[in-house]
Amino acid sequence: MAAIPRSLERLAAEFQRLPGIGAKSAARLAYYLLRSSDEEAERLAAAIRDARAAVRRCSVCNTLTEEDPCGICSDPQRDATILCVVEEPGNLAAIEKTREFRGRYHVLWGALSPLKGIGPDEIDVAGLVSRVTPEVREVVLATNPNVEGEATALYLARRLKPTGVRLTRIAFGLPVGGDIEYADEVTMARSLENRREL
Amino acid sequence: MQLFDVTTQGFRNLTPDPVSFGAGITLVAGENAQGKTNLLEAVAVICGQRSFRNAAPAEMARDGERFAVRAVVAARRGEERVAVTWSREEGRAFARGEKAAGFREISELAPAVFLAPEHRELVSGSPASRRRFLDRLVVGIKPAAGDDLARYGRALKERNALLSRWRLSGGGAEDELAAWTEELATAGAAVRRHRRNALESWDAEFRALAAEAGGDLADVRAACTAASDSPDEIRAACRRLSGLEKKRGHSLAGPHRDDLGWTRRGKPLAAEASAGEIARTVALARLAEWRSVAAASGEAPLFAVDDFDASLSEASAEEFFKALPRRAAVVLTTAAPASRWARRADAVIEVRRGTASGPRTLRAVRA
Repeated sequence: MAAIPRSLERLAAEFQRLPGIGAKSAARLAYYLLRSSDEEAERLAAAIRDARAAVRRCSVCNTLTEEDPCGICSDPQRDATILCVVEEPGNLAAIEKTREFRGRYHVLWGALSPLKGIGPDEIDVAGLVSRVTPEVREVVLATNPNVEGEATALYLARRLKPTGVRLTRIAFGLPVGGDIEYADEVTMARSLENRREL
Repeated sequence: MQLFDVTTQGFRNLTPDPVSFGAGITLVAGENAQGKTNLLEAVAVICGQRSFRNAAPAEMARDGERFAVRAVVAARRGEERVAVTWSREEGRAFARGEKAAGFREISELAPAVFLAPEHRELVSGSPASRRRFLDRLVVGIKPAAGDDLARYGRALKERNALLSRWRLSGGGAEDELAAWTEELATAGAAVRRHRRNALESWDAEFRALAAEAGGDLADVRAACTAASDSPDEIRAACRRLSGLEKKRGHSLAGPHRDDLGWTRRGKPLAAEASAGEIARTVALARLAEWRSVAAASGEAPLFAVDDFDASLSEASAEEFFKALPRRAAVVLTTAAPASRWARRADAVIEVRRGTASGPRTLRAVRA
């Protein structure tokens, strides 16, 4: 007789396929769900099913939405002449939380990474290029400040340069509440590059 | 920095009995293949370093699946419990107290410099081993530089993956390669600057030690082969080598191609120095590393030498003990009987079949 029932093992294996979940966390989640009430387990299953059925990609900006076009793309108050390019819908949500940006977005769904086999055709570069019409004044490249995000921003800048659109990159610098002594050289150099008048 | 209650689980042939390395010289004695070097390797691992024998974690795990090393680090900031675990499934993980920690945090908390017979490669081995030495030096002197080293490593891997794919497919979009070249150049310039700065402070210590040692050692010099630490130099080299890179499928310019050139009176050291001279040069290089890390961090790193007396004559032993760092935890392993060096040691640990007995006091050994 197996020490762990096969169905429980399968459930843990499915959890382990999720990003950020290791073998231990997957087993913990699987045991938790089996100990929980039928109602709780059903609620989780229904939430997954409903989200899968209702949520789709916005046909304009690619973000996740229940209505197409999404609330931001269909909002006439948003400035259609500024496009902010992000890697994932989560990045868009983080920028929206600040209420500082009133333009529109384009979600690439990833960043260039030859190691993972992701090139320009695997992320939505073509969609972005087609959206940069003469009405668009500025494209803000807000890909992540890591190696892949930086290379993606550089690549997009090269692709969009011939259109003449104003290209900007989100500023990098020292974190608020941080300590200069512990900053790496690239962050420190960028902070100095992006310094401003007081 | 001192290490107390070092315990291991599933680490090579070591048993879980605790061992401590306090201030002064701890002699680790035992016959060959009993576990002395394994104990030192466990110390390297708990200090956030890789194996000085270049062993993969699976080789250090007795069952090839998992191991753990725990210790109490006593440093200027007080005492802290640290742990490192490795398993095939979850990889390597560090903990500081109850919280997860990064390897950089641990190596900053528990600075240590190791010298092993394998380190002769620092002079006579491949350029890769010299670059590893340079990068350890960089991180020891300025831990924050680790981010820039990691960034360069990542940019290089990504760019190589692209070039490798192009080699098979016959090419791709030049804009994509240009973006990765820019990343390589920016991160590469930062790495070269860190290496130059670290080498400057190390070189001052090395020259002082070499002058003290006298003779031919006084004329030994080490210098990085990188011509410049400007991103423009890397960009220009990538442009110049672009055709060859696409043919070979990997990057041919950048800090991953640099070397540390050893010379004596202008001639390559490896070609003209004896094995003994090379061993002494490497020992001075490690001592200079210890001094420059100590000066930069204000913390006396642990200094550990594996098989310290393997090629040491009675005359050079005097010079060796004189050069050892003072007021630091120094760990020396030897296959000689403990009694041979016991009068020099503050504590003696004997290792037999993976079990360390001790530390015993000097008085106990003499008795």
